[in-house]
Amino acid sequence: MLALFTLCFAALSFEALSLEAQGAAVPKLAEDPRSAASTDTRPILIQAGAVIDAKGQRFAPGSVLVKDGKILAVGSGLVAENAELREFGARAVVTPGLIEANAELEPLERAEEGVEITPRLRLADGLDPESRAWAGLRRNGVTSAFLSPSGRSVISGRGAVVKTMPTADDRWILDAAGALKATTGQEPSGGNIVPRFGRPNSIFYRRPTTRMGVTWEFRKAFSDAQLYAAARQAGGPLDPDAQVLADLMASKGEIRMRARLLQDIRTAIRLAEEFGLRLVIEEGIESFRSPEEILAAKAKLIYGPTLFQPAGIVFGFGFGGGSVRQQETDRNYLATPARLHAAGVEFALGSAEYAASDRGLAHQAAIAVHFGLPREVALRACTVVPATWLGIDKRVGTLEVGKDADLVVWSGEPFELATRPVAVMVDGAFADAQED
Amino acid sequence: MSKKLLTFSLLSLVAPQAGAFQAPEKLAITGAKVITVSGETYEKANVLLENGRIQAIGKDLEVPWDAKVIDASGKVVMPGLVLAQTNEGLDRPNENVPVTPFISVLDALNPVDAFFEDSLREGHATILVIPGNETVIGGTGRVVKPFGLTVESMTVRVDGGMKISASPRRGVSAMAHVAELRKAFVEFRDELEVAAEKKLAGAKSEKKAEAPKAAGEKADDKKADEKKPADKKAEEKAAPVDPLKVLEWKDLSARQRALFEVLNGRMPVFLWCERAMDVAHAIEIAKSQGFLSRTTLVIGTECWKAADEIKAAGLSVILPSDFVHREVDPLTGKERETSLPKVFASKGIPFALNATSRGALLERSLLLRGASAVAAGVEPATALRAITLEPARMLGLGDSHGSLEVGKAGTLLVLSGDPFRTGTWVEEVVIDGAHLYSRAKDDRLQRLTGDSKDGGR
Repeated sequence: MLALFTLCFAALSFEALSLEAQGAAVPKLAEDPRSAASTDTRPILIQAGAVIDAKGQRFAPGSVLVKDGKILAVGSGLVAENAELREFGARAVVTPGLIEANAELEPLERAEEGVEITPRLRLADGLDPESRAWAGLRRNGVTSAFLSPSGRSVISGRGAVVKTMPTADDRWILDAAGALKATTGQEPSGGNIVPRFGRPNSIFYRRPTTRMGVTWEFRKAFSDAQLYAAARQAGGPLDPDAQVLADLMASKGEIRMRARLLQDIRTAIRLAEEFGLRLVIEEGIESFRSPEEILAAKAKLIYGPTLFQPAGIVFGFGFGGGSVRQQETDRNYLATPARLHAAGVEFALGSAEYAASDRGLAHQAAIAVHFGLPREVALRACTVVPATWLGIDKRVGTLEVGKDADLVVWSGEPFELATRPVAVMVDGAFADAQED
Repeated sequence: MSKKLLTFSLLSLVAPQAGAFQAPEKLAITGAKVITVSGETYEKANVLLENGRIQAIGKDLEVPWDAKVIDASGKVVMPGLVLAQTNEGLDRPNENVPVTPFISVLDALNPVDAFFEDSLREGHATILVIPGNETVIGGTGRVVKPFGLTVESMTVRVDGGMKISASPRRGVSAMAHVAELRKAFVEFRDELEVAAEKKLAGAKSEKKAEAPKAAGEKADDKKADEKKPADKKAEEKAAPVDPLKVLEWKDLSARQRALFEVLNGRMPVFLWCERAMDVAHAIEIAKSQGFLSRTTLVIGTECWKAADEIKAAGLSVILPSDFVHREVDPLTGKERETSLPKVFASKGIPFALNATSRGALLERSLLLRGASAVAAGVEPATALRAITLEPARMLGLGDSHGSLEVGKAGTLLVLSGDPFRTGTWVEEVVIDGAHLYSRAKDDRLQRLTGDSKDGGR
């Protein structure tokens, strides 16, 4: 409550100042009553060659004024007497912190290997604030992320929305009970062995072993939950797993389904329709084949990662072999984002298990631009669109007065293959400056 | 045939084979921003090629009436990219015997391998195909251009270089590997010594056999007797004989020739060092065997730690396509990433970037590797040299490739925009004056990236 009050106050108090902000001094800042009353933190003034606010404005040269984790001003040639000055040079460009809409981080506990259906699990219960993944995300300019549970289960649990700079308390967790994750395709059955062979001496002697089996597990879980809901109303016992699914159906909630190939995308659309759920498609590697179906289903698409260029361009297609990931990703089309945009599909970009690596979001966005996606669309797909979809757009996604001070300073124009994030600020604090 | 080619190549190392490509006599690329790499960058200039070579570069050059013209207005022209070393385009990178200096990629290079088609598309116009790193002495590589149906017509340079590895093969200890490498050279030198002595002895007995016929016996005997002590002294002084001076090409077996060329300094050496500790072995062996000055190190990511040693030895390096070294401090758990191009650029060590079609998207193209190097903090001009002139120099082609200069090979690219910019594509590739690739006509690329409805498949 107090925080909310301060936030409003900051926004109000600055409204008066912002009139003078364009090219003028900001003299009243030292008299800001909050700095005397509360903690005595100094504002930070960030100056760069340009600031892109992701609302359609570009300030060149640009500055951002930040205090107590919030943005006080965005503009050209801001001056603040009392502020700590951070200059990044004429080539540097500032954008809002990127939002990774689909991060599958390996070091996190993401799946229970022995069971297909575990909707009661929450990824937020297994977060390690000391994981190296956070630094990896920040290196990609990511300041907020949806952490997606594993694709090894059919319904693996709820994801979490976090800031990428863990705090001592749980302030950094924006949503501990994010969207429920399910997976179509081959992966949930990968490694399973049909029980009729050999001696069943491991948990992998079980079904499903096919796509059909995977889909059946999903359908069975939800139709069981429908029966459960009726029984529960009649005073039946509580089943925490079925309860999650029943609640989701009752509220027409969101289901996140990882679907890579076209057939899996269609399965996801069918299942969501069947149980009255709103669909978010993760990855959508083959979405380029039929953007119309995604539009018609009103599904949200989080496209990516773009990984490989098939060897010899066509020779490598569909050759099987390799991991499930490889088989399902080798059928990609490098200009997918450009085509989706042309077809009128709004999408966010995600990099799945590569989120914390050097093939993370910054790289994915640059690749999308390289293969024809307009820059401003790429920026939206990493900021405004995922912020809205994740329900955190009141706090992040653009550089606006009153929003969280999450931003990235790039060594040059963002989403260039020859530039990179050189500094990342989360909640008003610069994270580890990139070591050279 | 191959011997003929070999000798030919030793004499005239690079000869544009205009005939093989049916290059037009004259080709003009007009109206482009021309990045020469070695010299200035021209705006709105023309490049004239004649008989496969660059004849003139300049702003107001007249285009000959009989020249074929590529209009490159608003585009960028730069030298063809040089892929410093690869083992792609072969059926298998290595023989499963560790010491095989006598084998050559000539016999394994597959001209219709998709790798060459991709290389042309990426603008990799000059490529050293050389045996892989799972070896002790791996065999001879060849410098080729990615076009042609026979290895001969693709060849730019026959003696591309010898692959030697200072890093242990899989399943072999470092001690055993380095010992094997030393032993290979010791045994080979012994072999040469025996051959040299045999040759000298043969020459002597021939003389002896021929002499009596020429002159009187007695006089000759006397002379021989008189000379004997002196001869002996000379022999004692000269011993051991230097087989590299005594022996000639014709005295050697096919098994011995390639390694002989390494020892006498005519064959470049590409020395693989995976870890920093291998660098010292590599330098020591190259020095003791006398081929240090012709050596280029092919390094793994950890070798940035040996940068000072590499610099002191005056060596150049070929970086791995994934040039970021990552390590975790075992005690603090802190992760450290080191970008190799930055390290070598800041120390002033000449380096070449490398690409592989087996890697991630950005590892497949030298242009994109250059962009990544710039992102890591390397000056664009240095990154540009690292994909053109530096690798050309390492392949012994510094005088003919790697930059746009009058008299050099007419091997160049037309780019849609500045190199290293996102969205820049290789539009045209010209090799030795022949226009071999045009993006507009690349059906496969159109399918992958173009706007056609069946894109992607």
